[in-house]
Amino acid sequence: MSSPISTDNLSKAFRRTEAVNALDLEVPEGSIYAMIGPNGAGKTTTIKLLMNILRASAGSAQVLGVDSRRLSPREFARIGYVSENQEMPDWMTVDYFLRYLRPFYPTWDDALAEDLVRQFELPRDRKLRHLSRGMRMKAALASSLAYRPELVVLDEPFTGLDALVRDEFTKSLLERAEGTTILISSHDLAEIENFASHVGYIEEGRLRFTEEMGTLADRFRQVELTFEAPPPLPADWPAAWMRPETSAAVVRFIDSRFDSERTPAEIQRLFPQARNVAFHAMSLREIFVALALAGRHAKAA
Amino acid sequence: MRQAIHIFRKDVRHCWPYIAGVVAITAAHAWQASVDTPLPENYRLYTSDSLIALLMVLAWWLAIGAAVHGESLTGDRQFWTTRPYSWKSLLAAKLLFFAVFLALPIFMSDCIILKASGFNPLDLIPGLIRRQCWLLGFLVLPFLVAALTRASRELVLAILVSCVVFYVAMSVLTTPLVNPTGMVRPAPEWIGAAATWLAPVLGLPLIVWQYARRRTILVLVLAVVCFGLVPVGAGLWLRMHWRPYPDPRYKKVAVRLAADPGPSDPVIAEGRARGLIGIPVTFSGWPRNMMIPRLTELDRVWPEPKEGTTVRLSYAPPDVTLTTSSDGREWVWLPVRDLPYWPKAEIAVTFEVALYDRQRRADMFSGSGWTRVPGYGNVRFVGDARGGYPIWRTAIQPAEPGWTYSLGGAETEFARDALWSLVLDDQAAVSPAWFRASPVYTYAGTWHAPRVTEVKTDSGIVVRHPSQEPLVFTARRQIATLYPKLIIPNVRLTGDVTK
Repeated sequence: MSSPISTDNLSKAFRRTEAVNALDLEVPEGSIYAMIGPNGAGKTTTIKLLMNILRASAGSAQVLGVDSRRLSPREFARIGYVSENQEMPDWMTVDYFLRYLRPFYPTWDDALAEDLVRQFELPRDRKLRHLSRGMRMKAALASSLAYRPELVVLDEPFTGLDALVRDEFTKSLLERAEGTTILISSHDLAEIENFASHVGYIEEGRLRFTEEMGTLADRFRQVELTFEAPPPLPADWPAAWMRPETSAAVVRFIDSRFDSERTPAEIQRLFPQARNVAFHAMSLREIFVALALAGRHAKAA
Repeated sequence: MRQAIHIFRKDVRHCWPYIAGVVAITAAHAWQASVDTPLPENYRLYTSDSLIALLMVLAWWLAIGAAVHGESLTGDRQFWTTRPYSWKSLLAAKLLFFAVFLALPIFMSDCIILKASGFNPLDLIPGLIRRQCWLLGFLVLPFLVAALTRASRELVLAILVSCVVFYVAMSVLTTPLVNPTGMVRPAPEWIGAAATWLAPVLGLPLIVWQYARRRTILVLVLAVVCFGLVPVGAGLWLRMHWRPYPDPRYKKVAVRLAADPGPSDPVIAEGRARGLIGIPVTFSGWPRNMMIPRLTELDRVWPEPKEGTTVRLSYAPPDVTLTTSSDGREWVWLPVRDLPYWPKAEIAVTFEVALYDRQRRADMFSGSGWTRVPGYGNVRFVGDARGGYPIWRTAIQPAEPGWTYSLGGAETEFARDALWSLVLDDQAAVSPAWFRASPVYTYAGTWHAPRVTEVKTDSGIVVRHPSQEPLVFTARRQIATLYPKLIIPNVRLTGDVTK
């Protein structure tokens, strides 16, 4: 089967601003794909293009095997979409909201819906407009999981949620959407790191890289070199070594192509006088910050 | 269809306050329009009808806005856009909502009002359906605007702007065309019909497109073009190319007014301080089937022989009396004040002459209660034997604009000479049915001077109720306003004062 989501040269321009620029994205089936990137990178626009909320300026996207521009009720019955800034029918109570949506989905599972409401401790009789932000997100998620969608798309679902609600949200998502393909865009990298299987980094509308979470963690290392005296930085500084910092007799950088054999050899070649070499694993957040800063510096240069 | 009904039920649940408002206002309107309101409150009848119509329109717009904005078509944050909604079902749900809660109450209200006004609704089914179509046309604009906005606030603002644009466009398109000679001719009827159907014909495809594609900017541009630029452009083109009176009959009309060269001089009646000057005149120049029911003096100049100067008597233009003496000569009577004793003077008078096309349009009738005037509507008299007034009601269509209707014991030339006169309310006369809440147009007779029929009996004078009289319903239409000038060079104003 083809990927649940794939894009080909997908682009979206708002007047002169290229929000999404020739994006080629492939979300593997059954994966939990985290789309990360700085503010304004084009994550939300990409998702809106995929959901046919916005129209692409160029290129195309396939969602569940269908051109995203031709997504019909049949496909939307298999997609769960939750967004932080989605306008909900605020006048509905939680109970009526779920009852209203039920006939739209042939696969709606009443027991599952009941279970989600109970697990999220959603007040049935309260109107959506009177729910807290966290509760609203939970209600949206419950309404998007109750029909066991094949694809769940979450756009910044953790924004504004406290830690407890995030945990509940994530836990339910993983429990209820087992085997489901999940595309999630988020700034909450620490949260995503715990469960994402794949990650894609978007910057200035372009996909800078996309890979499995494990390989990403493997190839990024913070390297710390200690010297007797402050060394000069070599002229042929490798491109994969990001954000070099010199502090007294210590040189730090981030290797974005870490290899347990090649990297020490390269260090040995460029810094033969290094007294001590230390490699530190990096969290997704640290990788993200490194990439974002590197991108900003490159742009400034 | 199941999804459409599902959405419709949700809309009912969501919009019930708006539905209640529409139904309450419609019911109040049906009740109010069904009862006879005695004078002098009858003047309020028009006012309250307009007020209720305004409230009804407001209630419709708000209900439309609430229903459409339940699934707003603009913006990129609506929850429903990523749910398995079929746009056809969504549109069908909204149309069903309008049919049940806007069109049906109006239809029922129409039937009640017609029944109470002496009409049988079953006889007027085509008219009622036409009114429903007009209603559709009237609702298309707020529907379209709602489909291009996100919230009620935007809707109200956009509708106000749209109404101004639409009103200006329609005004340009449908206002009477006037030529410099004062000939007035209404815009051709097909323009009015085209204007009536413009909204649904142009608006509905745009609504369908917006529901199918949600291309807000594009649809907005097209809507502005369709509802603003096209009517204004068409109106301007029409004004440049439309000949004001292509009917050759009107071209021949050229009223001439001249002093009668016969033996009689002008006479002074009722004194010089406040009286009349009677001048024998001849009228000519208009087809025999037309008549002059109104002659107004616009301007009079008295050259003073001694001083060689001109005195312009300034006062409000009075209606000039036109009489026919026993020898068949026609006399114009000019009101005067403080007439000077000049031996001779020259009088130059400019008149405004309203030329009417006379057509007797209905036969005699009599009776009490609602009485049918074939082809026109129903008439009834309100009041007692000592006096009252007639009420005339037409169904679905207003009285034709430009026509004057009179009701009297005999065929009369002038509305003011009729036993009862029916005076058309200008606003009611020109507004098509779809601008009105009521399917019935009510015209009250003149209040001020009903002439009653007195019958002497042994016990005294009995005033007979007008409904006991055989009456004639007469219609006439003003086709031209002309300004002939009468110049009499040597007028002797020392003549006798007649009483």
